[in-house]
This record gives sequence, C-alpha cells and structure tokens, in this order.
Amino acid sequence: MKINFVYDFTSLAGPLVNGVDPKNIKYFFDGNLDLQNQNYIDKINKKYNNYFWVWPNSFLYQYGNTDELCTSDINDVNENELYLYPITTQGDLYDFCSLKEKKHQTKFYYISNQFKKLLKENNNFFIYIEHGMEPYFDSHILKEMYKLCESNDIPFQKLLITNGSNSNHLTLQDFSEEYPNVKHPKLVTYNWGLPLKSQDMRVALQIVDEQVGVETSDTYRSTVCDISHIKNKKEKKALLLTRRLRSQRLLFLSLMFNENIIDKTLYSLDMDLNFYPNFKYILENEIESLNINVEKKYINDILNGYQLMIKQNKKIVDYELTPYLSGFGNESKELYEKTFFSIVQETEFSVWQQAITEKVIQPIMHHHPFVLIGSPYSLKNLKRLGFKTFDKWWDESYDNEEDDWIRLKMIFDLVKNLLTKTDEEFYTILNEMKDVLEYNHNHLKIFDSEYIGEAISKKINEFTSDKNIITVL
Amino acid sequence: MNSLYLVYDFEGPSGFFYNSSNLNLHQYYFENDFVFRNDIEDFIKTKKDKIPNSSNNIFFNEVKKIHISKLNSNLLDNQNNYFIYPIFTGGNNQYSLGIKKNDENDKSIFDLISNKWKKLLKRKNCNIIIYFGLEHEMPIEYFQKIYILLQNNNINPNKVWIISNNFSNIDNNNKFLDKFGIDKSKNLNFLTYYEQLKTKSNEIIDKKLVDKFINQVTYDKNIFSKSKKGLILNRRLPLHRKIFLSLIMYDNYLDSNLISFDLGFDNQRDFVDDIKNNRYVQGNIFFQKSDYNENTFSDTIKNKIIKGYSLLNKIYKNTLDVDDFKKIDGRALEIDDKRLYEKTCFSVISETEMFSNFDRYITEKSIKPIQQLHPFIMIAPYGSLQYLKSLGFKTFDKWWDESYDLEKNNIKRLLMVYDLFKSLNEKSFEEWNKIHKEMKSILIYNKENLKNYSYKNDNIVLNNLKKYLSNEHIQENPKLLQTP
Repeated sequence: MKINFVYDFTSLAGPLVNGVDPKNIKYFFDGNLDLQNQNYIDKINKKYNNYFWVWPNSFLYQYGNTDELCTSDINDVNENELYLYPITTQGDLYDFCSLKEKKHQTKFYYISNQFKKLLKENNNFFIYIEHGMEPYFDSHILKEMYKLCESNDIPFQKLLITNGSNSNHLTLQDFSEEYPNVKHPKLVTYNWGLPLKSQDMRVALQIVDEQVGVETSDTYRSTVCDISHIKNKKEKKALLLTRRLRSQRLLFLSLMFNENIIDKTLYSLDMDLNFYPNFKYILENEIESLNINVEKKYINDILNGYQLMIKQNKKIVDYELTPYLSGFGNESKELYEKTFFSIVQETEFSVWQQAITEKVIQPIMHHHPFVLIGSPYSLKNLKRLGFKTFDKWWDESYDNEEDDWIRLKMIFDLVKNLLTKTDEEFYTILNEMKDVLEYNHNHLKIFDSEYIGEAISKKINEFTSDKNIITVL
Repeated sequence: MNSLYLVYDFEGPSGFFYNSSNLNLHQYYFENDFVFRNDIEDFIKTKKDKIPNSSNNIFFNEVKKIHISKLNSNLLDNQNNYFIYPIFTGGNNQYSLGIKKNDENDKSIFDLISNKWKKLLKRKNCNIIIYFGLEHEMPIEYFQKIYILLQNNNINPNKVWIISNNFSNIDNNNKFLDKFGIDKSKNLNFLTYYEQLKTKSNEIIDKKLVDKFINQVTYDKNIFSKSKKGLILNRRLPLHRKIFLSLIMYDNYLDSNLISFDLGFDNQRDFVDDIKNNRYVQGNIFFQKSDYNENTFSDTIKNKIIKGYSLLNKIYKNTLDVDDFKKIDGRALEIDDKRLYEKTCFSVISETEMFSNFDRYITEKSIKPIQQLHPFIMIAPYGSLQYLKSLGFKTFDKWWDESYDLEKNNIKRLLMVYDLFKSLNEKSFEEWNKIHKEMKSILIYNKENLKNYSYKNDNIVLNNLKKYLSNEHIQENPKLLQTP
C-alpha cells in the first residue's frame, strides 16, 4: 500500500511542514530554503528573530513506497492508498497542545478546511502526528488532543499518532473511562530511540557515512567501546550517568549517597538540572505529592542522601551537562571501558508511560550489561525487540513490578548487591556474558532504514483496519 | 509545438498562491482557506483595509501550471518549452511597485520573486510576465522604480515582459533610457493587451444580449429618428471632461446633445482654481520650461471655461440612463442604453486619460460606440485613433478631419476635438442622414472586426505570446490581441 504524505503548502524547495502559522509562511520564501537542514532552520530563526520549529517527519518516510502531494492536487482519491497529513509534536507534547504558560494556536487550528473535508469523506485519510525524540505520552495528552479535535472540527478517530510509548493500551483504557463513547484514534508504537541509536553506532563504526538528521552544532561523533573491555582494568564498578534530576533519579541517587556507595560508581551529577529544587521540603512536608509512593521509613535516609548530593553539587564525567546536549552522538567509549556495568536511568518510570529511549541503548552499543531504572516491562520490551538481558546473572524481576517505589527499591537493592561484588567476580560475569553482549551489540546494527521499512510494511494494512493499537517497532 | 508553463513559487491548500503576493497579508488569506481569488482580495481591501499587491493573471486560465520545485532539467532543457512566471498587479500598481505600502515592511513584486526563479531566469526560455491591467498608467516614476527594483534584485530587464493597454510604453521607455544613458540592449519588453476589447467583443456575440445593441436593421430605421447631435457620457469628472463640458455650456450646446454629468460625484477639487493655475499641465523630467506656454490655455479660453463651468454648476446634474453613478462600477463595463445611440448622430468618447503623455491608453469607453454602430470622435491621448486602426478598426476621416489624433500638444488636441464637436453640431440632421448612410458599411465592418477579439480567439493571445517570447514576431508595438 502506497503512502501519500499530504501537505497544505508547497514552498520553493518542496512541501512545507504542516501546521505552520500563516504569519510565518513568509519565512519560507527564502530561496535557499532547506527544511532538512537544521542549521538552516536555526539560521532563519536567528535572522528573523522568530522562534519556530520545522521538524520534518521522518519515521514513515522510511517505508519507501511513498509520495508527496499538495492538498490542492488531490482530485482523484485512490482507495488502495493511504493519505497521511503529517504534523509533528517536535518532541514537546505540552507545547504542541498549547498547555504551557505561553498559549498559542495549535497545529490543529492551522489544518486547512480543504484537508479536513478530505479527511471526513475518505476512510484512508488520516492526520499523522509524529511524536519523536521524547518518550512521554499518556491519556492526559490524548484527552487534550481530543478537545483540540472537537474545537477544530476534526474527527478524533482520524488521528494516527506514532509515539515511543509501549503502554498505548493503558492510555486508551484510561481515556475511555472519561470518554466512553468516543471513537479512538490509532496509536502506533515506534521505539524511535532504537533506530536512531543504531544509526549513531553505525556512523561511529564507519559502517555508514552520514548521521543525517541527527547532527546538530553541539554533536560530537561517538566512539564505541569494544568487547575487549571486559578484560580491562576498571576504575569503578558501575557507570551511572544522570542529567535531568527527575523524581525517581533523585530518590535513587539519594539512596546511593546515603549508603555511601555512590563512589563505587563513575557518576555524573549537576544539581542545576534538578526538576525538584524543593525536594527537601516535599520529603519533609508533602511526600504524598510525589508521584512515587515512598515508604515513610526511608524518608530520613533519602533526606540524608539528598543533603550529600547537594554538598557534592556537580560532577562531570565526560561532557558539561547542558540541558540540550543531544542523546545522539556524544558517546564516549572511555566511560564504559572504565566500568563493569551500567546503571541506566531512563526518562520515564511509571507503568502509564512505558517507554525506552536512547539511554538504555547506550550500554548495548558499548558491550555493557545494565540494570535499568525505568518503567515496568522495559526489559520485556527490549526482549520483544530481539535483545537479551541478564536474568542469568541477577534477578530482573523488578521489571514486572508495577509499584514504582517497590520497583525502585528492588533496583536499588540489586545495585547495592552488585556493587559488593569483587572485580574478579565481575570479570567472571562479564566473561560469561560475552556472547550476550556481542549479540546485543550486533543486533543493534540491524535497525537501519531497510529494516524499519520492512517493519512498516508488515503493519501497514493495520493502519486502515479497525485496530487502534499498532506496534511497528 | 511550443509549450507554455506557468511557474509558481508557492502552492497552498486551494491551489497556487499569486506570485509576488504580499507576505504580510497571508494571515487574511488563511482566514479564507488560502483561496486566491478576486472576492478574497475585495474582502482584504474592504474588511481589512489592506491593498494586495498582486492578483490573478487573467491571461493564462488554460495554460499548464507548475510548481517551481517540480521544474527538472528535462523540462527546462527543452527549448520548445517556455516558462513564465506570471504576476498581475491587479490595478494596484503603486502597491505592487512598493511606492505605497500597507505596512512598512511590505515589499515590491520584484522583491518577492524567489531567488530560485531569479537563478532560472538566466535560461533563455524562462521569463517574467507582469500584467499591469485595470489601471494602465505608467508614469516616468514607474519606469524609474522598475529599473531600480530590477537592478536591486539582479534581474535582467530583458527577461521581464510588461503587458498593459498603454500603447506609449515602448516610446516612453526609450525616452527614459535615452535620458539616463542606459544601454538599450537591456531594456524591458512591452506588449499591449486591450482587455476591454475582449469583454466588449464577448458582449456582442452573446445571444442573450443581442437586444441591447443596435443592429443593421435597426440602424437603418434609426437614421431618420435622430433628435440630438452628440452623445457624451461622463461618470467621473477629471479635468479634461470638465473643460470640455464647460466649453459646451459656454457655447450653449447642452440642449442639442445628450450629455450626462453629475458634479456631485467624485468631484473634490476646486476646478476654477485648477484652471487659473494651469493644474492640467502634467510636468515630468522631460518637460522643458519652454513647453509650459505651449501647454496652457490662453486667457481667453480660460475665461470661457470658467464662465462655462459656472453655468454647468448651476445645472449640476444631468441624467441620461443612470441616475446614481455610485451604483455602477464603470469599469465593470455596463452596457449603455441603446436608445441613447439611436437618438444621437455621433459619440464623443471622453476617455479616462487625456493630459498625460505617459498614460496613453484607452478603455471600454472607446468600444461602446463600435458596439452600437455609432461614429465617434475622441477626447483621448494622442494616437488613440491610430491605435484603434492598428487593431483593424476603420475611422471617419472620409467625413471629418481626424488630424486631432496626431496632435501631441494636449490642449491643442482638446480644442481641435472641441472645434470638431462644434462643426459636427452645426451639421443638419439631413446631412447626418446622408453621412450615416455612407458610413454604414464602415460601422458594420468595425462591429464585425470587434467580434474577432472575443474569448473564441483566446488562442491568438497565447500564440502571439509564444511568438514574442521566441523573437519570431517582433513589431513596433507588439500586441497580444493581434488578429491573424
């Protein structure tokens, strides 16, 4: 089945991303327009002192059998083809739905009436929302999208939303509790971190030349840790990279500091990136407001550990932890060469937002085993995607625990236990793991455009079926 | 066979944007589903109080349209293909050229041509066509502005074809280039297109409108039923019309002619003051101090005009077929009541322009008598009769002196036409009967000739255009509506 991507505007260089405020269309008259070039976009943003995003959609383009049409060119609709009107969230669902402090018209508002008409009249037309680069997606956002569809005369069930969530079934369940009679849109799971990190690795290993669409001005080409590291002398037991300090990360690190085992890890820390600057107050006075139900008997330990974190304040292991340092590129193999295993702090933690990102792919790339501080069933999803995990060497039952605090505590106990192992014990474990580490590393290589194209091909018929939950990757 | 393509920079949900459309007005087009159409322009003008700087180019309804991003080397390299980047000023010439602006950062039509197209203009088969329609004025300031804008945008003037009904553009362009010593190998191209000719032609071949016009049979019947000499229809009252009317009043010709006027319509200026201070003289950079005396009325004439105007002012309004001029567009080309033509012996065509040597164009007013088998004299820019002749029409030099048409001095020409008007008024109805019988074949010939310019011959326009673009059909004053 062919996919036709439909755009309302065709600019000098071809289709213009949908959902642009008409006031900004004038910026696309520039003769050197190149929407695929982020540097160009940055330049015109700067030139016109007007901040606007123009991320092109990318995921479904890998399908191969695609074409681009302008809305006004659609005279005869082919019933055997799919017509998708792409818009992107640009990685920020809250801004996309205008839920932030600075309110604005959303991209739904700017969808042309002509396309809306086509959307209503044809079963094979959808508004294709691509939410990439950030894993967050839940029923709250879906409800906001529903309201936006209602206010903009858009049939909600004609949304086809691709996201990195592995819990879309829960999202729809929760949505239905409030809106039992509303027809569901299609939610397509696409774990975008996987192919992007695969590309990152293949570029680093010089299997492919370019890192198209990923490189930005602050991106450094990655280096990759070889399997021989399992015999290297190690400086620390584990690698523990942290940038933005979310609640689960603050709790975990506090426990690590409190137990005085943080120094057994090569860790990064920057308290300037603390999402909860009033964390101490919350622990002391409003513990129930925290999204994780911390067992009260641990509060003093956490408070103590948190004080030590504040005292430490900052620790750099490779790069300065700027808020916008890209997760693609910028890999330093030395961090992995110096440590036995990784403690991965994923972005999402709740069962309602099951997601994996580039963070858990990093140790796979570097032949590292890992313990994952992430949402439930993340390991299960990695296995679904063909990776192997480490239940032969340690207990991974934490992955099935849906209670966030219990899971966090299970992970902490596991990490604490692993950190007590001697170097010799780790050399033995890594030696036993060698095949798994190599297998995972090699498996990561397969997620190229051709693979994605085939994955889409297998699922493309579901796009026009009655299914609302579709998993492509 | 050569193929024409219209190239557009931007396509929206309702089709192509007008090229060079004002970027600052896009938000209003958004409110209208990005429909680029005349009624949306009217909406922007009336509801938003903004003037668009481009409009729909009327020539090319049947020509293949293509988006600039789809131009590939296969298409471009084929020298049988011609690529046109169409722009239409929509009658808002001053806004199109950036002389007037809605907002400070508005740009001219040339500034809004994409760099991509500017690069493609280096190819022989790529050109820009700008239609300066509806308002055909081309004062020297426009030439100046256009050449400067082209230079600023690095566009070779050779690649720009300006279409309008101003038949003096080539002469004036040459004058301009001579004045400033600009190399003529890099001059603009001009084509004339008399848009009202087509509209008026369409009317006379429309079977539904057949009763609106005098035909060969009714012509014969009416020869003996004339009650007035001349027919002079006036809507707006620019200086030349008021001067002519004042002279008529002074010489007491009002009753012997059918004349419409309404001093209450669009008449803001102090006419007497204008006459006393010679404000009808239109100076420009070519105007010599010594020209001044030659272009002003003598005191005797001025006194006649002022006295005549006083009489005109007393009557103030004279209605023939239309009482309220605000209700008609004028430019919407209403068909006059044919009884006005049946009652009268000849028309005095009082054209829109008369005093400007840079705005030499004629309008629907010059075609209306041809539709009604009426002979005419013209208060119009010099060369207007000549221009009509070049379009295949015959005029009336067998019956009266038409040398006024070649008189370049505007006040002399006006007075020559007035003298002719008086002499035609002095003819008896018997004399007119005889003249009408004699000139019948010419009047019928003219009406038949007018039919050549209807929509049925739209292909002529495109074929002529292709010839001009390929340099096959160069002539002194190239016309798009050139009959085969």
